[in-house]
Amino acid sequence: MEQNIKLLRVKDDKAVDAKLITLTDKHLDDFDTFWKSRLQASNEEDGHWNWIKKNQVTLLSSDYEKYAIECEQITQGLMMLEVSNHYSRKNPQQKLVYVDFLSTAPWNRTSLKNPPDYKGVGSILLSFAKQRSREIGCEGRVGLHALPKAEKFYKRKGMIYLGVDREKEDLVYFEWLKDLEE
Amino acid sequence: MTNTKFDEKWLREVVAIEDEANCDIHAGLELGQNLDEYVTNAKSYINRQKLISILKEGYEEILSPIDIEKMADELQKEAQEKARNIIRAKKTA
Repeated sequence: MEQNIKLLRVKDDKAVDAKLITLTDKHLDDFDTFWKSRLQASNEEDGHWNWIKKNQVTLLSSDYEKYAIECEQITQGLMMLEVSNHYSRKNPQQKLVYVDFLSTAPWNRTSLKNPPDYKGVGSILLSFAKQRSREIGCEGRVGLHALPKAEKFYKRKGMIYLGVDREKEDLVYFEWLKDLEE
Repeated sequence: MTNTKFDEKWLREVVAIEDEANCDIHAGLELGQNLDEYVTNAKSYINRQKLISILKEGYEEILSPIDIEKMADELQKEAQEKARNIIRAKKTA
């Protein structure tokens, strides 16, 4: 899968070409080379996430889809979706796409670099999750556990707040309902 | 409902929302600290249908579908338990 997209390059306020693409070893190499040490040295909520390990654990399963955003030959964002086995908490008989993990590169985070290099990475990945949900028959339903600093964003995107999940590290669970129910 | 175009107009709209929210965007459980729980989640680690297909290939002629499903459940549980123990041992090493 490869889809042409645009990111906002902050330094000159230009929309530049980028691509949303299925995760490859190149993206994991970028994570290892450019992301990991910066995140581990930070206080970021996902600072200890290891995308290489996440990929290994799910490598043999067809339940997962993994994507990256590339711009100027560097990985700008990563996302892992679970496309089976998850059901809506609002309407439990309906399947949804669950966002297992979504991360942006350290230089695209205002908490680590202000101004950041690119904007739009997180929004594009989340919207693509919705697109995949439609494509596989889940009618736009998407669920995720938000890391605390990102809760405001998901509320602003119109996702439904479904409370703190005591079984999932007390993270807040959000859902996009079926397209027409939004 | 058509798919998003991801063009410049759309991009500037979503960036405005990002700016309003004024936060970095991440999602997901903290897998790094909870990998053992993660791999033992029946939904996440082993695809049960695949396992049943493999077992069928080898045992369909001698076992009933119910026996094959039971065998899949037992193998799945055993694999998850072993994976959990290995990961926990590595974490505490």
